[in-house]
Amino acid sequence: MKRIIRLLICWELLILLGAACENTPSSTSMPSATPEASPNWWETWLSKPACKPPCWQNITPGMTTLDMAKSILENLPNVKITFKSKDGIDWEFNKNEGGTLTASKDGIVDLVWIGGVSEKKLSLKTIVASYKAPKYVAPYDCREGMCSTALIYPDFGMFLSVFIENKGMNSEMPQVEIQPETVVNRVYFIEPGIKGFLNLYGLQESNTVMDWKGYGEYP
Amino acid sequence: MQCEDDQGSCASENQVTKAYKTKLEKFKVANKIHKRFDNVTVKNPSAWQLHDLNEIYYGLSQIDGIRGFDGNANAIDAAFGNVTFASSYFPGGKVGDASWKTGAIRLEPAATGDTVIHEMGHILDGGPKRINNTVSLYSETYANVFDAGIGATDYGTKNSSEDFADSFLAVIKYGTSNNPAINQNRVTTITALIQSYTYLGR
Repeated sequence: MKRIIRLLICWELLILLGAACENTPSSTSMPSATPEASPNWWETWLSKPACKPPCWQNITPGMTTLDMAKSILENLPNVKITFKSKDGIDWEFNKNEGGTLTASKDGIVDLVWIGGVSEKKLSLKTIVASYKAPKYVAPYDCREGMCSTALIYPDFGMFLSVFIENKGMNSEMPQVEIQPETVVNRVYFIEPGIKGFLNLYGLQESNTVMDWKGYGEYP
Repeated sequence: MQCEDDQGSCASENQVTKAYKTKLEKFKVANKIHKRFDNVTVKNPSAWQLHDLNEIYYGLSQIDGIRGFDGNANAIDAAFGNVTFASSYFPGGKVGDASWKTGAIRLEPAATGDTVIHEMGHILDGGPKRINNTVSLYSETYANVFDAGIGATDYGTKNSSEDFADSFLAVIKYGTSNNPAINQNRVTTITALIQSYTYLGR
């Protein structure tokens, strides 16, 4: 009985929370992006980068403040801020493409990612054409026959996230195959160095990260 | 040496002792789970592998940890209700499933602590609906957040229910600040949900 009463009170609170959430986008949204001829999330980044990674659109992890980043995003064409809090900002380029940045407690941006779930896919070879091959491969979340895998450019402070089949025996002994056509879902920008990536996912270098040896199976 | 002269009888005796010790250990871990989480039942402990039971304990401990319910037993009870774990096998790559209607979670031996947290996320999703079928799942109430879209995990892009469960896992695993797996709106919504229980459970 006690539990039912508690749940009912929770439910009431959550309805109020829901109302608050629904109000958030309207209070934070900016003049809407131009809907027509919206480029894919990677096109501007690859063809006309504003700065070198880990900087994206003049937002640099470890340097840019959250307020500055917000101001930059507000002034970018084709960007609509969809959520903001003291911990970070979400935005959309369009319904299926967007990004997120997070900030540390002192208000400095520490992570930026851009990506999408649209039909138009970004293949690894397209990024390799601009940034060469990654330095490391790291399957970091393997479940149900699939692995979220990072292709890491530690010197740039950048990694790519791909979601590919686990050909290994189980999730603890994954084996993944990286091909030129492998689809990149997200590009992350963090402070340069491999430690930044490992700390982000709470991983140990020894049992996770493999040297890049070209397209093929890892390990 | 005497054992070898016994043409293997000693070896089988050792095997029996080992099997008994493992069985005892399984019951110990199951008891540890039951003691710490009084809303959780592990069905038939001897049917599990010891490793699986340890993964259940690990997963539940993470939920009960600082990134989750922070040791608040009343809040865990209110959020998840009674939960039963049963050992199972699935075809293909699937390693677990959950029914919010009954609170039943089935796991394969390949399941990890992350699987436990994800499946508990499904139970949390249906927490209020389990009590009152006329209300919605959390993933439906917050359909604008858990839309299986850009801010979801790779696994969460399947549907809103998977999005919710995997967002719960992401918050328990990576915390609220600097979460690399999901967008800020998901982090904030899951955190607020957990806090709505922990606040009332005090």
